[in-house]
Amino acid sequence: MDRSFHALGDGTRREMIAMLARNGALSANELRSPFSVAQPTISKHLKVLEKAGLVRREINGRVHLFHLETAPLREAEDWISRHRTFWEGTLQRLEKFVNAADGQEDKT
Amino acid sequence: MTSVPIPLVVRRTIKALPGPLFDAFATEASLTCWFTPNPDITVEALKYDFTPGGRFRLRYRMPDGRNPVVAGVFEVIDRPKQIVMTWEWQAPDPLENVPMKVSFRFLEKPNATEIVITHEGIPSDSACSIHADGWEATLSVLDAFFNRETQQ
Repeated sequence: MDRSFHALGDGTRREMIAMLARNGALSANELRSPFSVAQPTISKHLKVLEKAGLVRREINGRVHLFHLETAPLREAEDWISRHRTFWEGTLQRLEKFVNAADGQEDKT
Repeated sequence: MTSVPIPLVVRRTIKALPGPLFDAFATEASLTCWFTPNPDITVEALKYDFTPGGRFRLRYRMPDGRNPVVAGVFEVIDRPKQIVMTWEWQAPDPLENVPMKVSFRFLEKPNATEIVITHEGIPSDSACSIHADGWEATLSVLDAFFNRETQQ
């Protein structure tokens, strides 16, 4: 999971992921178009994403198509949502606990 | 360029003074009354030393029979402003041995306190840092993507 977090720790790579999520498979050229960076830079980003297992490369003759692999992202997302639910629930319980303690003090 | 570690930030404004909220953490007896995500899950303290450098070890009892254990060390105890603790789920757990850190900040508001929980999930390695805004934005895109995928 560390690897997918590292891969996502860059604005350009996150935008590339978002593009693949919106559009499905894209070529390296299509992935480069919104950015004012050279193709080797994009290739480097794609390699990081591939290594993290976030992106799969399909070679079709001279065209390389890139697909989004969702499993590692789900893992990262699960991590976030698992703890979000945990802390949101815990804070609700804290609120009830403190309010109940207040109520008891009022009575005595 | 400001980077922060992989963040999860949860906020809630509670009608209480910072002091009483802070004190809900201060003893094993008070903490175990509420420190769970829902009433079906109970928590017991196997160890609870609420002092700077002190260790804690909590066992949750889930309705499905699982009993996850989390352990850590209190790094900062600053009444009534802040509590910082390390946070590590113990084996067997999908997140076992992942060192995490949780901080609670108590911000005084008119007639209320805003509690801000920041949960950092990745060791403080700058290579693993990420922009909070970008992260949230990416997640919302992914969320839409996953939902679309589920519907198909």
